[in-house]
Amino acid sequence: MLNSLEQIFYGLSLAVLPQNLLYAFMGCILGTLVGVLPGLGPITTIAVLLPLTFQASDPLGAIIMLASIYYGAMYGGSTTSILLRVPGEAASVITCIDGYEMAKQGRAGPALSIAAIGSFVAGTGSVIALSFVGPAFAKFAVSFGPPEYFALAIFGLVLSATIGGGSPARGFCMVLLGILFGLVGTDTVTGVERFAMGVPALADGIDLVPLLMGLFGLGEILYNLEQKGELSVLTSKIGRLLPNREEWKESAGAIGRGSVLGFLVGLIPGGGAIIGSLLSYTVEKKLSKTPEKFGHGAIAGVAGPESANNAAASSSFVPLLTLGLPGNAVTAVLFAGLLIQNVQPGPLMLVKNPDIFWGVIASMYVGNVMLLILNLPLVGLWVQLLRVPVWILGPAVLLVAIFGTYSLRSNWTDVSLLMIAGGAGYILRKAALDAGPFAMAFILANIMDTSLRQALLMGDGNIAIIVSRPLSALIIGVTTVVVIYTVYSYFKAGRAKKYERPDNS
Amino acid sequence: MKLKRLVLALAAACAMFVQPANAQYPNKPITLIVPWAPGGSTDQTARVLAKAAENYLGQPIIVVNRPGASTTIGMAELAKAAPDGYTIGTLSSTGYLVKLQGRQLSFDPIEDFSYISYYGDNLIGIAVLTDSPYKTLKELVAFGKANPGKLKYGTAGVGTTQHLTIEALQRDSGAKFVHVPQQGSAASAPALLGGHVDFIMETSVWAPFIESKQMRLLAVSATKRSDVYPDVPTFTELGFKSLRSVQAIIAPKGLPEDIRAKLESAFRKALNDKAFQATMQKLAMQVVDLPGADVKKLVEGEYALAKDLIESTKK
Amino acid sequence: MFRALERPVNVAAILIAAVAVAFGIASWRLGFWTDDGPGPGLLPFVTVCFLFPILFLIVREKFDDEERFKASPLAAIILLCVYAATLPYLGFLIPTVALIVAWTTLFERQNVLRGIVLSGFLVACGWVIFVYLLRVPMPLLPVW
Repeated sequence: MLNSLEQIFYGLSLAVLPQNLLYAFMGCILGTLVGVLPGLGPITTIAVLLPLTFQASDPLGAIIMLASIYYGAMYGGSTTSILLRVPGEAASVITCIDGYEMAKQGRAGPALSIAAIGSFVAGTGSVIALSFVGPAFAKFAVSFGPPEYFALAIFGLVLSATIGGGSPARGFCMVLLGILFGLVGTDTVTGVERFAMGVPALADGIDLVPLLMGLFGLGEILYNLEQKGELSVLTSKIGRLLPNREEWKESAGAIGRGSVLGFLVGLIPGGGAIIGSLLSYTVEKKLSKTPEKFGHGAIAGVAGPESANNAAASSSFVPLLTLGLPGNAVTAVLFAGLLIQNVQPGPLMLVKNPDIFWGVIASMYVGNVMLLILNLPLVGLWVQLLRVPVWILGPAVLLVAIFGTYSLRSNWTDVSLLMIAGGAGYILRKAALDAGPFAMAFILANIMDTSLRQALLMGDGNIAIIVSRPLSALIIGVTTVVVIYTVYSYFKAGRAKKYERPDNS
Repeated sequence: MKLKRLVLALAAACAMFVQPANAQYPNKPITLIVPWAPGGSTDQTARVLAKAAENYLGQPIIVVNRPGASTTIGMAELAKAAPDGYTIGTLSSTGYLVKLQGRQLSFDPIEDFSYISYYGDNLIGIAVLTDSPYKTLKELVAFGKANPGKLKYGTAGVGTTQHLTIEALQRDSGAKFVHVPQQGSAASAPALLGGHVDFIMETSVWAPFIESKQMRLLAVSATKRSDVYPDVPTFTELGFKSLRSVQAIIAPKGLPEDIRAKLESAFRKALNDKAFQATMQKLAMQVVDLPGADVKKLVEGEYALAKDLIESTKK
Repeated sequence: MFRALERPVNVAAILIAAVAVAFGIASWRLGFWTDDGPGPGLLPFVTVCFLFPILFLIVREKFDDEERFKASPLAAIILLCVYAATLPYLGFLIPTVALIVAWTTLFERQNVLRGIVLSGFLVACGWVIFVYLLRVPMPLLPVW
């Protein structure tokens, strides 16, 4: 413990060097910017900047900048989710549900502030956990094999059906549809292309970003075309910027729980920020005294998931730095960044490059403070976005979505996909079918299918492998209980019961 | 630096309009299509190599990443580009192996390209955990023969160089292992570390764990022993076939020979660049110098071998 | 018959059913079982099988505030699809300017001058952020 403390001070002494502070600051600003711009995510940005770090004479500075882009983007990602119902990056999909409702009620300020504050608490908390117990958690990360991934994916799918405010039947319908679309692309286990119709851009699956921006962002723009005048009502009542006492009380617990959940899920390679925010949202809804508020602007539904995705972003550094295992696409690019600087991430990094290891971790403390200072005043600025007349805002979002989509893979097919997803988003919205469960299932489908079949290969075709391993058995058990409860209460309530629409529009 | 590039690019753009078509090649920047995501081993090595080759061509080389669909998106774009020497690309074995998986391609992965030069092989090796009972490839194979289907192994995926090499090993030795395909090379290392598979056949993802003594390397597939792991035997030494993980520079079919020769000489000279060699070493890749004409022969040979393998294992 | 199509949920259910049938046929072709275990078509087929009874439940659910489709969003969807189809041939500049002018005049009910000014401004902003600052190679002009 004392040793860790000493190391952190050593790291801090490196992180506060003027040039490193500058790198962190630049990274934070850039990260916030790309987080705010839908479509452009940290992956693209870090990848674009990666070649520049070839020339950097200072490896620590280069890595600090790349890392701060990542967690900066996590802060920025919630902004457009709340203001425009366009997820700034994938992990903020959940924030669209209640964040956007809050904005419509004139509570955009508190929503944005709580997202920034939650992100700060979660980010800092995770870095503390990372510095003290990170290496101990590294073993936990690799103990996750196919049976555990399968159990987690099934659990996630069941939870997805219950997010939002619609009926469970509608939730499950969207989950099933999401699974189908999530399975498009090359099958890992047999190497066969599924449902790609020979389109090269679909061989790796439907790209998440155009899909999300279409379903949520474009869908919303199209929906607003017929709701003339509604948005202008909203612009007149931008009230407070900071949460009031009641909102604080509702969010405090959510931030704490979201941070812990996010930290744990972030450790698992491939688990990542999205599952963290999904879990947090469900937990908050179940624990809340007023679950009916969820889907209609519950601040805990913003605070929890936003904390979770930030905590997950920080904890995904644990497998990267201690095992050399990049758990998601962003850490994979960071991994390459370290290699370019002649630093081999992995078990020996702590011994061979303690300056980089502790320098990066310490810079995360500094970066989180910077981001809070940067983001809170920005809330006032972002809220002004709502004063922009609708006839300007709509085309502007449209253009950013189009350019953002194209910039990801320089692919025309993705732009077409964006438009189709937009149309689908509008029709689903009119039919009171929620796109949230669809997006979750879309992400989890492949994990579920691949890991089930990998597990069967490992267990010589015997499905018992999934229930005979303690961790996966536990998750499967909990899932079964949730399913039985949901089905039971659905039929008990009677199908005739009128459910509220997912949005109170 | 950036300004200089911008000026160069602008100057080149202007030059395009005023100069006759038959002007001295190259008179504008060259685009190098890397069909992989930024940060991968091909991307890293190709960027350093391109930087070194710029010096011999006198024009900047702009690297663009066109990842997706097992490199076929980038390869299709390259195949369609004008064969004027201003659009070139990298070739990895994945590009032609994918055709053997029955994927419909809009181009022929071998015939639709001109071959400029070779630059190296990825080092692929069999790794087990340090506490595993198998000290050599022979012991592993012997166990696989005595207990068919008992051992599970991981690779980056179905039909990759890694997978096919183990298929060849099984065919030639009579051992039987179960393939548990992983989602890319990066996922193989945790699968082995967590004990979810018994061994992995992978590109250098095992390197840090060999160093930390958590994993042991049993054999590598390369033409000769690696400088980094001189004690580890090659598949060929042990009497087994192995496929090569090709890294080459190519261009669209129909590239005029004088332009091809100019590019070949620049890229082969660049192989001596210090930074390039250091990057290759870091990724446990071997620098290999081959004339363009031989690259095509090598690729055709590899393709035939892989095809033969897949057909013989299908039965 | 046509009355039923006035309910968006019915339209959505028909579309989803059509998609599900397509997925069902394709997964049948992929095969349900291989020598090593479940085939690539098994899970999608099972999913499709579950989807139909659930669609039936959904169509029967009733709301107090049922919505109806309106013409302008449907027209906008068609416009967006036409835009996406022209991009590969005309590059970004011309279709995007045309799209935004059409959008502001037709759907946002602004005059043409505003549409032109807005499209010019937005495209310029997009160029600065994506092409100039972030160096994304974007084909702006038509490929002849």
